[in-house]
Amino acid sequence: MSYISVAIGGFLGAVARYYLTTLPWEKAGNGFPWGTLLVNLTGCLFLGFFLAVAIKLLISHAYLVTGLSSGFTGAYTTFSTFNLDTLHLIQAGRTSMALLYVLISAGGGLLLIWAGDRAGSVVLSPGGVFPLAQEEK
Amino acid sequence: MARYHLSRCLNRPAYPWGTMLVNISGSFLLGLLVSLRFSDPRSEIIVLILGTGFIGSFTTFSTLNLEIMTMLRKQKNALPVIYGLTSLIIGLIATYAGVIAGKNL
Repeated sequence: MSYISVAIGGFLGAVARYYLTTLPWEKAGNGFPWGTLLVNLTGCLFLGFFLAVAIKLLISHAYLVTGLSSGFTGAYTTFSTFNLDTLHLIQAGRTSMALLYVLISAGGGLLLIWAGDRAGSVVLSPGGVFPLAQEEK
Repeated sequence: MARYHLSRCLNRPAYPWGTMLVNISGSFLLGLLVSLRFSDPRSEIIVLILGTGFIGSFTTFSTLNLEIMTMLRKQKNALPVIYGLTSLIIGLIATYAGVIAGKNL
């Protein structure tokens, strides 16, 4: 059953990633892979936030949590294209841009997972915007 | 689904082998796929389905970062740093190896 939720989430995540990485900015940014960077960073922010909130609010809906985290976000973000982008930049002789891309992706990804997690805790804390959490506490 | 299955089978509490295997093998496959030269013009759609669709979804960037963050919190040793760096470096080497392999096929 969890496989079905991962399949549905994965399909939607892949389509969302395809849509965002083929938008005009990918071509406009002098060869810098903006699209891949955007999906990877927003995916990290979402995953951090979603898991922080889901652990409290959706604990009884395990399929939904798996479908959205492992399925949707897992498929939405991509590691293989990230490496291919880096390799293309290196092969084009743009080593400093490649290094910058790796540093922003890896550093930014970690930072945004953390930020998402923090934001999730704030939302759930007493006085936060989520009334359900206050009832539970 | 393939990623979910492999991760569920192979991820251990101490070290996420499943995610690492998925990311590195996927990086190799994508490098291989984009460097293969197809004579058939219809192959573009196949590359799109397999590359963006399957391999793009098979590998994951968010779980990698989530695992590093979780490991950073739980363990005070160098393991999360090793995991992050080896994933990045071996992933890049695997992509390059895939490209070389694809060109020589």
